[in-house]
Amino acid sequence: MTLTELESGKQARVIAFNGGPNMIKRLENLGLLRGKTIKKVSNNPFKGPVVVKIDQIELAIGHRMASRITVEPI
Amino acid sequence: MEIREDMKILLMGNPNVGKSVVFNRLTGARVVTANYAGTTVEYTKGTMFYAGNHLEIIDVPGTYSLEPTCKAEEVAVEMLSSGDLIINVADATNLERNLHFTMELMRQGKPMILVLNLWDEARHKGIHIDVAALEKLLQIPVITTVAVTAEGIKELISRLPEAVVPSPPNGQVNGDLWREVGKIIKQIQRITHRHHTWLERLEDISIKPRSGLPLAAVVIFLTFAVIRFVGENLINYVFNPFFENLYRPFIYHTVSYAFPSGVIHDLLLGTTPDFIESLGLLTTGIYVPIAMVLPYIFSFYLVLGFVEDFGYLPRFAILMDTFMHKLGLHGFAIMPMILGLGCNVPGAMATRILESRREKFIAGTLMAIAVPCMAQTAMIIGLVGPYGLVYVAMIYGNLAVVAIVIGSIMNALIPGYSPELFLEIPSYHLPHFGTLMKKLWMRIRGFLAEAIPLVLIGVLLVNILFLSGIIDLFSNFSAPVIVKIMGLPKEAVSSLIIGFLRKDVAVGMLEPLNMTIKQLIIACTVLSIYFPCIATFAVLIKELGVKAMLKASLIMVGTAIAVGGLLNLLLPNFS
Repeated sequence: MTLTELESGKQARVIAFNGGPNMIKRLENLGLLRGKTIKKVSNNPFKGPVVVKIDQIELAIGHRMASRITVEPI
Repeated sequence: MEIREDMKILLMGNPNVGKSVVFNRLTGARVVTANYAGTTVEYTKGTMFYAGNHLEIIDVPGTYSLEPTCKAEEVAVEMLSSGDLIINVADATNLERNLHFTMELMRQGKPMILVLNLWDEARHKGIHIDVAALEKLLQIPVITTVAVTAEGIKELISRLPEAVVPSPPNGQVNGDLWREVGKIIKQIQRITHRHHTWLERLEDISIKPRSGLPLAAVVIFLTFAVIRFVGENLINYVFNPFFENLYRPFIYHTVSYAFPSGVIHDLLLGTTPDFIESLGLLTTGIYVPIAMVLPYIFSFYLVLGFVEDFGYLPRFAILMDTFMHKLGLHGFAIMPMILGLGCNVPGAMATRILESRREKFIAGTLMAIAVPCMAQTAMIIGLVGPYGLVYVAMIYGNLAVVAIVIGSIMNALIPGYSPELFLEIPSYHLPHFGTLMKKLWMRIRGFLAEAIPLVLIGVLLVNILFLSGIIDLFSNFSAPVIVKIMGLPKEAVSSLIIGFLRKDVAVGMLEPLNMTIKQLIIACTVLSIYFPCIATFAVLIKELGVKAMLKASLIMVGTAIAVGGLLNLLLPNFS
């Protein structure tokens, strides 16, 4: 499923990024890597950003970008 | 390595790890610091003395990678080649991501030192890092610091000569580097479980929309209430008594003694006793910036400094993201607007944190049009406030509607799309009192140094325009627009001219025109929209380019005329 579909408060593993090299680069630069375990913190309504927690940090990801991140709930 | 005279030392690292705080500690200089990524958008140079040598310390904007994704990061990468030594500042609470950048730097063949900042914070979060082991693995000195309290800074300075060129890490592609980092982290970092602090609970409350949005409303209300309370009381109980009881008798006696009458007397004191109307250099020229604007500058930056250092602003940006997309921007574009409420110049500089040219153009234009700086706000409160705060609110309401309409139009007409919000949310920190006060003082000093000369030039220029009669020429020339369309007295043109220099003086010049409250609302709204002050204009040209700024200027002037005309048609004659 995509990161936008994941329920808030649930943990998941990052599986794939469906985007160009630029998007992948931006995600990886901030530490969002394939194989990482993340926890979804919140989901803003009206296609707002998704907030996730990875290790010690929280990242806010725009809705469109988040919808291109495939995750697997655990 | 040997420390030499004139050596260039670069402070580099991820955004929001405290490079600027380390910079301030090393150089004794003061640059603005805050708790969000992208506070530093331009490099700053300072000098440090070391064993009789002058070392140049350069505070480089934070970057996540040596392959830049925005202008502030480009600046960072360009700086790299000029450095002799790199102090890589890293966030100890987020070592894995920070070490990735360290590894990228290690490929550059420059002598390095690694600083693990926020060491106290890491301890609180239950993060244990084996520094000795990390030193051995990286083969560069690793120093732990708490820069806000200067802990570890002495050790950093004393160990500068130990900086060495590291051997480049294995792996050429990005993925390999992450694997290397992962291996290191496994060996040197241990995380123990601990209970959530109240700050972390507050982080959660402010990020979840259901609780975050009401909280944002409370924060906005409190912010404005405190700014107004502090500003107004400073004016009523400190600045006004001082100016009326001490300053006024003093300058009137002194000037009248030296120049009993004549041009110089009038130039210094003006022709009426009213501090705002007189347009004398020593009356209006000093009273407006010091007694009317400075109290609000003080209260605004006091509150902003606290909110910035606490770490609230990025969370607010996230909540605003959906709304900002309607204007062709993403949530983080709220940052230039918030900074612009203090002064449009740092607001315009902050557009550098935005990724695309389109976004910078929209953000810069919208800020210039719809975000009045604190100097202008203070004057509007001073002038319109006595008629009722509802009229002040009306001016800001007008500007908010204009921002939404113009933003939506630009979003629809300018080709391209708005990039996605993607940012790191900092942890909440209780602000460090000394750092807050130093930042406040720096911003006030900046205001005094830049505003007062321009205000004086503005007042002088008004006098020249009036004495030479040039103002009549302008008045007659612009009368069709100002009188016919906007319904303002034609003398209001002098205020619009001075508005290029200083918006505060321009608002003050509306006072003697005896305008109705409707006219005051129109004039204050138009003064904000029609053009930015010269200082902001110069920065916007630099950030957007001449051609784009020309387009932006056309939008501003066109909007000003349209809005002035509409308000004239639609507003009732409040009586």
